[in-house]
Amino acid sequence: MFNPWMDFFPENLVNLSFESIHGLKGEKLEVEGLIRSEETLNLEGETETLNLKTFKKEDLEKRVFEISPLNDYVTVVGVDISLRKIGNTKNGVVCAFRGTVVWKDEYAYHYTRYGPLLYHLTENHAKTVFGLKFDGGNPNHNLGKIQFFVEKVFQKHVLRNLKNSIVLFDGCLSTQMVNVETLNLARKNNNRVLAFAKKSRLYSWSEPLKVLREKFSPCILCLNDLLSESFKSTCLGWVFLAKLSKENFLFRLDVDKTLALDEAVQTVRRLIGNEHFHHGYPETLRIAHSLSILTRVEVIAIQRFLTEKLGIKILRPENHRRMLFGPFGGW
Amino acid sequence: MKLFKKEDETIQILCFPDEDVRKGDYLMVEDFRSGRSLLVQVIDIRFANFPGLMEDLLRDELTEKIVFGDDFDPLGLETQITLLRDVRILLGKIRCSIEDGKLNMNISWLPSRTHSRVYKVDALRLVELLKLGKKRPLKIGEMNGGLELAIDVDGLDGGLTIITGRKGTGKSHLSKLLILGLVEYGAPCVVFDVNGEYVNLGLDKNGEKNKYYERIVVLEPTKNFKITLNYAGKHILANILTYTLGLPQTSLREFFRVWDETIQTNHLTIKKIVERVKVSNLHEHIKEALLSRLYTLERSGFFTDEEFKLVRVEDVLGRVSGGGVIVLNLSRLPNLERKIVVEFMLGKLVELLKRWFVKAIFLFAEEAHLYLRETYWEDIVTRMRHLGLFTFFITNQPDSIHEDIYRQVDTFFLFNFKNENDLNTITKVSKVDSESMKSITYSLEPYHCLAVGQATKEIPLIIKVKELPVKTMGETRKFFS
Repeated sequence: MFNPWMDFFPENLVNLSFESIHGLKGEKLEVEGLIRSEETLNLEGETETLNLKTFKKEDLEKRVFEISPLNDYVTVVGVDISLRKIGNTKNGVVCAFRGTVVWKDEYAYHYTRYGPLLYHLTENHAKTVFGLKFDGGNPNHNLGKIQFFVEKVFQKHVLRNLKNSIVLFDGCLSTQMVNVETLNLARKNNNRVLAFAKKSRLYSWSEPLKVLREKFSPCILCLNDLLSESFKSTCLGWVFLAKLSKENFLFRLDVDKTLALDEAVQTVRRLIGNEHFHHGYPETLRIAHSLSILTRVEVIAIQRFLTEKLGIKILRPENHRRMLFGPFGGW
Repeated sequence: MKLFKKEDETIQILCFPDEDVRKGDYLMVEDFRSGRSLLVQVIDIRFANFPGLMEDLLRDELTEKIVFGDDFDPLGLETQITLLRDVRILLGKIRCSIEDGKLNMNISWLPSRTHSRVYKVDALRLVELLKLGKKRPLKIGEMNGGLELAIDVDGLDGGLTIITGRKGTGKSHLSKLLILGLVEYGAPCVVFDVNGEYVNLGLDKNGEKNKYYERIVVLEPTKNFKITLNYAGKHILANILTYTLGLPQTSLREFFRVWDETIQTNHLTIKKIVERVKVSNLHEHIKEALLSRLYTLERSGFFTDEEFKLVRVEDVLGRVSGGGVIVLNLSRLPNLERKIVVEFMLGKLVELLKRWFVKAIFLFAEEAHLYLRETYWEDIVTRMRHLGLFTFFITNQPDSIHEDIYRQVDTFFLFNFKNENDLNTITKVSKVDSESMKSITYSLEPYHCLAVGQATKEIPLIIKVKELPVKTMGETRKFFS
């Protein structure tokens, strides 16, 4: 199965981590006063709103088809990463990355977790290492770019080491989030790539799409020909609305578009035959998310590590609202 | 360690798990700017509650049983995360303030969070600060870190001491240690031994005579310790009849009349008084009441009519006046007889103290509720104390000691308790706050005690009681050994 050893891990990610944080010695790091429970990054494209072409409800219902599980064994692999900002320096931003690969064999779930790796991202790093151009104004925006970059490197690393598997990504198969080469690599190794999006919103006639809710058994609705041309041009997958368990949780499910539609549907059937679904969401992805997320305790631990090992001085930003308005300043 | 919070006399200190701090240890909160320090005793150790800790632990719990895997952590951050999860909050009570190296009770000031240093005070430094065991040292055990601790015997002088704790935690062991320490300094001690476990104080572990042998006098009432009516005297006998045998006042008046008549005509014996009661013109009920009590005294075997069998307490006290112990073995006496003997002994000791026959006596009373009458409790902490009878109560039933006694106690040795009711009872001691007592007492190991009072300069200390060089076991009969 998946070869977890570090020999296969993208060297540039590790080296960049060591190099960039080494240059941090003795610097000052401004951290947020309040560490929130989830990532605070508001990434571009993370929440998508898809307005379908004006289709009548009856017409949409005709396009829904129920699917039955295919039980021939295939390994299901979930991949997720987490990138979290730790603080700002005078030249850039320090962030922590953690990536997790979870797979299920006949007996149990297994994982390999990489990180946390720390990066001090300056404009120089962005250009030389990532080949990205930093937007001077918004550090969070830059961090979003880095997240996509790191995610792509990580996806490639995973797919390079897998064969004959169904690989699940968190998000969607857009050009922003997945490289075409990565999907080619997947097919070369006989892997099927799918992506589950939690934050996409699907609307029809300005109303949330409710079709499939009445269905009891797993079913999917192919949306590709309903989407706008501009959307389709950035999308590398068949876009389905999927309900894969009895509970009324619907997800946008993308399947590698280079597969024929039949084959894409077969892959979804094989997935439901080989994976557990909790509220319609695959367990491997859920575990991968849980294991990769950087908790508030871990953020504090990272801050302590930076202070202890690199002599970094932690600064809290002045909160003018709090200073001016006291308890009415929104603590 | 970092000063985190202060509320009243309670201080919270943030502490990383690599710092070895235990309940009962002392910390110094040193304020550089003011040059003052606070001496703080750790009474509880809790986990620090970080934001997000719950989700972190929950993730572990959810995944560890169903997912198996490896972590690749090139920066070694996992150790920091593990460390952080175990960060602790030390809950401490301020015991005193230190200024220019001297202790004072001014704890009304607040140390700076930024300009304070918090560190553990080792046992040696603490003993030096408190100046313990400088005058008349009595080694009673060791403190955390293995430092031998000696208290000043003077701290036990003139006061009331309570030793309490669960069965088998080491109370009697400590009381024996204190007795022998007092003996070393020439103090006369009397022990009310209900279990017969002090009778071997004069023997070493092998059963051979030790250096205390000649200083230990074991009195076995009804055997080698008998008294006459005349020696007991009218006053003590009246107390026995009233408080122990429940004789009504009207009958007591008649008894005194008979007593006076008998003493004028005859040598005073129980038999003579009985004969006189029988022939006297008394109401039948009074006659019956007196005769039944007199027969009880006669049957007890503690009273004798033969002068040569009389053992005078002053004679025995004379043997131990330069330092020694009178062990009054009450273990083989029935309840009523035990009360008669104790009533006599206390009466006689007070009488001798009033006459300045001895300067003072240290009285060790094990499970006093079994033989001490109600009215004596108050008497012991007020009148008797002023006469020179300094009492040590030893019990595993803290609720058997009156609340007033707890409020008056001068030194308190507290061993482990687990029961909530017991813990609530001991919190009546005014020497230390109830939170400290409950928290520390609950987790004390066997042979460890919390000592507080005059003997420890009012600073609570956890002491591991040292081993005794004498035969400590009582005469408990066992089936399997």
